[in-house]
Formats: sequence, structure tokens, C-alpha cells
Amino acid sequence: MKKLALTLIKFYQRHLSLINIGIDICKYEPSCSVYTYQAIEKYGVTKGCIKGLWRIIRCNPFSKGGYDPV
Amino acid sequence: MGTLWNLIIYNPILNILVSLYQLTSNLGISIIVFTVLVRVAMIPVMAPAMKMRKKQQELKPKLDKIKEKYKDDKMKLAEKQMDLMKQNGVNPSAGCLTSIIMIVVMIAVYRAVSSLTNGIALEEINNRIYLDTFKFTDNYSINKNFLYLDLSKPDPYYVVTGIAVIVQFLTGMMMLPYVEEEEKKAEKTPSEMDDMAASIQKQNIFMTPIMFLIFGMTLPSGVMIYIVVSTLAQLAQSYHYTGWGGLTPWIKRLKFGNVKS
Repeated sequence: MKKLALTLIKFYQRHLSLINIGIDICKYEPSCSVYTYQAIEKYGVTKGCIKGLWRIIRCNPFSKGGYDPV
Repeated sequence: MGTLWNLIIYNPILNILVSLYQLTSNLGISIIVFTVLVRVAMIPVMAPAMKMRKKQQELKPKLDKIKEKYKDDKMKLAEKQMDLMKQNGVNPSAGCLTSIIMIVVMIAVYRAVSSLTNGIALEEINNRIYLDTFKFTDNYSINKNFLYLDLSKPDPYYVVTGIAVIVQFLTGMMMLPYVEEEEKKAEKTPSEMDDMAASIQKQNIFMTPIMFLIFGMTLPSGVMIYIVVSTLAQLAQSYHYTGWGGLTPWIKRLKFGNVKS
């Protein structure tokens, strides 16, 4: 399950992410996908996904962005 | 979840498309106008990210310097990077949530276009239309002819498909950053990470047109017209913010050829 989640994120990063065409849309460092990847590695699928989801919700026009590690 | 999706996203979008059709009674024209409208509505979201891309390319030497200086203090690094962006008048991008919402809207747009071309029961569409004047009457059949096309079937002559493939390829090329020949030589060996990102980017330039070719052979041509107009809009947007990009050498060659003759 954990492996599947991590593979899916890797697939997104390689083939779907807008960063591939040079558009960097994330306000945070590390970016939302890297953050979620690390969170799943650290806390497991359930808690990691929740943490990742919360991060994506925070990544909106009204937040400040910046450095925000797992 | 399904009802929420219909209520907030799908129904409003379908209403706009059906209203356009009822006003023009030409499905092809309504799809084109509709796509342009959607793209215009998305400009405020896309513009900051596109501007940022251009600035990032310009500021790359400065950014590299900062990276070198604050290698060990990531907190400080992110802060300094933002300061540099702000000083140069770049607004931070709209963020990941906004782009996810945009993708969801694009799925709804796609579904609205394909539901009109795929010959879904008109009653089902009628149920979603807010204004009675825009509802379809009984026994009505949507006029699906546009130029030589039957919008509910794939393009038999592959003209629309061909245009989609070419336009998508050109857009992909434009998205690549343009590096002057001399600069290329002078540049130090890029880090492994940069190299990988660049190779994936190059790979995508060929992947997406191939995908469009397959779409063109299977999807209704109405949907393909939507894809073509949408890609054209992206191309125009990309030209406006970052110029010809990776296409620059080709454009130069074209002009040079003219001068020579």
C-alpha cells in the first residue's frame, strides 16, 4: 500500500506535474508532492496522506508559502 | 459527492454551453466560443505562474548565487528567494490548491462538451438547464454538422487531428527555455537534477502529440475541436509571456532564409 502510494506520487512527478513544462506553481519548499512523499515515508499511508492533503489545502492564494519541511 | 459535483461545477458549465448552442444553433461555433471563454476565465490563475517562469529564467544567475550562499540553511534560502522575487515584482503563484480546482473544472468542461457530442438523452440535459427558454423541445435533435464534420464522430480525414498534433508539438517546443548557442558552450556542466528534469521535459514534447493522435482517431471531432482551440489558447498565452522559447532557432532560420534570398 505504501509502495503503491509512493509510486503514484513518483508517476505524478515524472509525467503529470506542471514543473515538467517549466511552470512552478507550488508556494512551498519542498513542493507539495515532495512533502507528501516524505510524509508517507515517515508516518505511513493514512497519516502521511492526511498531512499531504492538509498541505495542499494550505497552498492557496491566501497563504504565505516558504520553507515548510515534514 | 456526485450531487455536489453536479450542483457546483458540472451544471453551471453545461448551462453556459447549452445557452451558447441555443443562441447560435451551431454546435461547432458554440464549442469554439465556449473554449475561448473558459480560457479567458483562467487567465488570472495562469498569469502569475507564467510571469514567474519568465522571471525565474532571467534571475537564474542570482538565484544560483543565493543557493550557493545559503546551502546549509534552507529556511533562510527560501526566505531570500522570495525576497528576490518580490524585489523584481513577481507575485507568488496561486498555489497547488488553485491548480487542482482548475483541473477539476477542466474535467467538467470536457464532460460538458462530450455529453453534447456523444448524443446523451436530451431529457437528461434538460433536467440540468436552469432557464426554460434554453431547454430543448421534445423530439429535438442537436445539429451536429460543422463544416464537413459530424461532431459526434471522429474526423474521417484527420484534419482536426493533424492540427491538434502540430499545435501541441509547437506549444511543447515553445515551453522549453531558449539557450543561445554561445551560452550553451560557456555554461558549466549542469547538475544531475537539472539534466533529468530537462530530459523528461523533452520526452513530454513527443509524448503529448502522440497521445493527441490516438485521441483524434477515437474521440468525437467536437471534443477534438475543443482540444485544438484550448491548445491554441495556451500557445498564444505562452508567446505573450515568454516569447518563442525553444522555437527561437526555427524562427530565426525562417527569417534568415528570407534575408538570404
